[in-house]
Amino acid sequence: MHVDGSPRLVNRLLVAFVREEWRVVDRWWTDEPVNRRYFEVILESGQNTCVYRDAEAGCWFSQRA
Amino acid sequence: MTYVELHCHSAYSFLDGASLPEELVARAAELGYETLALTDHDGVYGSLEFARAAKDFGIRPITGAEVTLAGGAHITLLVESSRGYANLCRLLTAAHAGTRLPGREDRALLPPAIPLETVVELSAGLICLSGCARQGLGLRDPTATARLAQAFGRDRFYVELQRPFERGDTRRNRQLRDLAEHLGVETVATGNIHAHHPRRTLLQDVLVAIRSRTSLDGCEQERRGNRESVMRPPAEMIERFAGIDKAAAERTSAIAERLEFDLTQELGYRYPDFSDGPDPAIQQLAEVCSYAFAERYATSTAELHNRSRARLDEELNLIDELGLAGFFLLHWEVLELAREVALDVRGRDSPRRFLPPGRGRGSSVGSIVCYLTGLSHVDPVANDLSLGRFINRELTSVPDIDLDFPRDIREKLIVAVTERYGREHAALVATFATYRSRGAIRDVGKALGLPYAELERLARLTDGWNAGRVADEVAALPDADRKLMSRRWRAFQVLTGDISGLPRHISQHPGGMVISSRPLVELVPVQPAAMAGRQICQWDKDSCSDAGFLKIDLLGLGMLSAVEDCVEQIARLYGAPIDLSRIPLDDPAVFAEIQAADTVGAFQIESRAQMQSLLRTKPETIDDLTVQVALVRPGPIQGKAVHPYIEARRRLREDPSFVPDVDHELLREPLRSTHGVVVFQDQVLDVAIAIAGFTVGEAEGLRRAMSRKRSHAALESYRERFVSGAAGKSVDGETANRVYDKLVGFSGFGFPKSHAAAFGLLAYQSSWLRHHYPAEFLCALLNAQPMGFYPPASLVRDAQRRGVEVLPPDVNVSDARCSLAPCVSETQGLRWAVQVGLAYVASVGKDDAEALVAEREERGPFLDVADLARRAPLSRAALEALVQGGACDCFGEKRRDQLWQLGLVFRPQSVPGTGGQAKQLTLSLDPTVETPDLPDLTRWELMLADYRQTGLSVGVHPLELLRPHLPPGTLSSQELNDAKHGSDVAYAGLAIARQRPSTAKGIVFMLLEDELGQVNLIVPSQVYERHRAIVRGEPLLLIRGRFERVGENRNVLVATLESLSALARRVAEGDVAGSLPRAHHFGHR
Repeated sequence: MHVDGSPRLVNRLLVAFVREEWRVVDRWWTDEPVNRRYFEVILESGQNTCVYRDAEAGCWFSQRA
Repeated sequence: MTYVELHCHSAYSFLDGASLPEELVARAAELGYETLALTDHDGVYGSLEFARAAKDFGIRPITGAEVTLAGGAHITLLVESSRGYANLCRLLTAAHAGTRLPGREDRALLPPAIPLETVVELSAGLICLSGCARQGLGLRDPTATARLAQAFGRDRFYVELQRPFERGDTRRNRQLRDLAEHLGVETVATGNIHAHHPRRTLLQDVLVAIRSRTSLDGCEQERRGNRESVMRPPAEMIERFAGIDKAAAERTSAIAERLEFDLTQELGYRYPDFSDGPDPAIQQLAEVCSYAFAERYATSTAELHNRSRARLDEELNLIDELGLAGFFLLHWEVLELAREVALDVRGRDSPRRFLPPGRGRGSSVGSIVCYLTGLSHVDPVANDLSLGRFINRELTSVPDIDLDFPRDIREKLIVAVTERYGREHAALVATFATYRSRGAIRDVGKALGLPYAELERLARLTDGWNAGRVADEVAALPDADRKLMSRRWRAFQVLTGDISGLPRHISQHPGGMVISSRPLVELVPVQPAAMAGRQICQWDKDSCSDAGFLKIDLLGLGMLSAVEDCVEQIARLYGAPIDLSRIPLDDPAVFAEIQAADTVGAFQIESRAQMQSLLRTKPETIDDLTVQVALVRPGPIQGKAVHPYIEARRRLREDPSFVPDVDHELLREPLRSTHGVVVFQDQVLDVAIAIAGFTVGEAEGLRRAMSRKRSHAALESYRERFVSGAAGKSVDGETANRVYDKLVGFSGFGFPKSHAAAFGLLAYQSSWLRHHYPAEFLCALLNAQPMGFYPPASLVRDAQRRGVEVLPPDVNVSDARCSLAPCVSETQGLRWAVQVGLAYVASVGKDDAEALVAEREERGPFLDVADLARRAPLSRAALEALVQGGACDCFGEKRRDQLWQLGLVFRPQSVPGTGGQAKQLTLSLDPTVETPDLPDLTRWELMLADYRQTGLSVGVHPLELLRPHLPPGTLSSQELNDAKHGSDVAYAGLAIARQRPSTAKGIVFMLLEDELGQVNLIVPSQVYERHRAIVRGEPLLLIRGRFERVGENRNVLVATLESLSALARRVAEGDVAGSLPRAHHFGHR
């Protein structure tokens, strides 16, 4: 993870470029609040992927871009 | 270069912005902003408040608005110059012009919108940004964007970039940059702030849900989805745009530098000052006064005449010196207009035509010019009223003039004033409905998806205007532990506090109007109100006052309506109108009733607290009444004036030579009329002048500081001045501080003497009518509801106890309103009884009732309920209500039988497609089945049906029916009167009023009623806390406590309370509590 919070590696591949970042803080009134920082990135392999850091869980997840 | 926020919403972007202007500027100062813009949705509602607060925090305010164009796209407009501000106001006025449909003004507002071409036309002096990320014009309509770019020019049009950290930001901003390049204009970055702090973003989500009328779960699309639309430090904002368009962020400060317009400076407001007439305004005013003077003082004594002339000359000189002649002429002109309206409303032959169209209230009553121009009807010279507070040489702003009118005249006058001065020049002042406990509980709770029943229970129990206390109330619930395990309830606690005091929507001030010689629509936007013909400006009274606008208060006073109605009834029944200005002001019989606190329904002296005070002060003259109406107010109570005054009155009754104590001999003269204590607001001035050597202007400054309790520092600085000034007059520090403490205790919550004089006179006139024309007065009171301390049911019971006959509504006799019907008795001959009007029946509106009466007058009385159903254009629900409420008892059949028959009647049906114009006639066929033998209603059922349908019952009282079932030893109100002081008693009654004054340290005062009279209860705070639900919600109560008799006052100090609802339900075999009227609540909740 970089200082600014963006991912450096995804699945052991270097992130070549961050295409977009967005944030979701929602459902705070429920027992399953969402607090995520999403990144749509292009990996050094050329693969386009989307990852997010879940502040509630304290770890990273990836999903299809 | 630093960043300046050019797109920021406050809570005046209703149900969208989550922070007050003060919170925004305080946070901006904390984060290091030097300049900040406010751009609320389609309005400048909070702009002046914002601009003033910003200056206090050392921030330069920029005025602007986010404007909605026809089609729904947004643009951001920022004011560069005075011309730009005038154009913005005109644009916003135009945007709101179509928000109310003609004839349907009371419906929900349509969204404001303005045609693009109007923006083009009024673009001068404004800078335009292309709008926000979601609804900005730049994205929605590039062609229209180009049109605006061309109109504003490249130096005044910018494409707006935002970075709310939503998915799609990159692509959107790229698109917008391309558009800017294509149009040859520059970009600018904005933050679209909706909250001053990240923790307030939760409330922003809730506000969106409330606006969308759904829960948080139901408005995911509308919500922002994260916490990024929040004020951030300038450096962080520049960094946020680093990868997008850093120059756009840096450009904000260059744009801000050009936006030099300052809303707190002179706006160019002028009220119509009559300077365009043939003579100078002061000469015009002198002529008006001289004409009236000759008429009013024609028969007065030479001494009064001379004193009055001197006073008039003195006032005219002062008015000329202050340049206020136009101000008085303006009010005179409004009153002349009111005369025309009154003639129109009352009718040229009406007995009411002799009455003045309205009367002054407040300090204006102290002016002889006001008296002569008709603004007040109290002679200030004869009544020894001071001018001081109203106008003086140190006056810094125009004085207020408050005028009271009967409601019907006021309704028309507001529209007439708007039309007289023009829709561009006159409007009502706005008020902003802010969140208090109940609204916060309901709206926040619904947004969070909390159970409706639980919210309603809490809303009924809530105990204060301050929504900030809801959290404590939730914590005090019996099941609080279980509730607070849920995130929703925890969030509810926090958010009800956050939403407290935030404006929810704009509304109209009760009667404040602003009139401007320069078009008002260039000074503040104006929008249609929810009543036909009315319009409101976008500022409340504080902003209008800060802008130097002259506010004329045209207030509606229910008692004036009642008095007029009463005078009209009397003239109609007895053939000769009475002139209330000529009734004797010393009628012993009237004062006997007042002294016995027999004042239910009388203006200002009818409340429970007033009655208890009357029994001790025993007013004997109209001057005593003037003190009386001012005495039972928070000011004199907190200023510890009440008991010394009462004691002085008692001592004076025993020994007329008694000389009341005063804190210092210098106060003897200023406080002579009130026996040494401060009762009137003007006495604060008099005391400060007498004991501390204040000038009139300084004393007025002290009074103003007192009325703003927040300005503690200002009050303390006045204390220093007061004590040092007093020392200069040889008053020791301890005495000076004691007097000052009393003045501070008095604070701003008191009447000026002149106001009290006007109200005291009305109190007497209403008492006089009540004594001499009890039936007519009751009738008028019932027609003027809602007003006063008592619900209609209690007014009726009181009048019945005084021998007034009250008849139930009757479809073949009653008018739409309550009226007087002849009634012959063997003992008393012909008398007049009050016939309850048909509009009193629930579900039957005024229009329905009038239509029914018109049908009856045209085609004769109704023969039976079937005939009524066929002929009267009423809904089935209204017909059923008439039967249930006893209005069809005249047909001689049982109510249940009539309801059965009603169900069998064929009524004319509308022919589909004719909009109700064509009716399909019915065949006059009798029902094919016989009415079964239905049981008659019991006495309980009849009484409850009356209460349910009309809010009152002229028959049996519920306590009369309940009495045989009450626990042994329960006393009636009459038996209670004979109880021993200090004895333990039990009493049962119907709660009619409940009062929790903020000055009473949590004590609740209640008034209960039984079939024989009323009883006062004092519920100590700990008893109230224990039985809060019963005190607040139960109509039928059994109380136990100690009976206290002090002089003629009788109270029960309550120890326990029980609800009698279960007993009543058992006895009546039905729901009793739900049918009885709810007690009136006053004061702190």
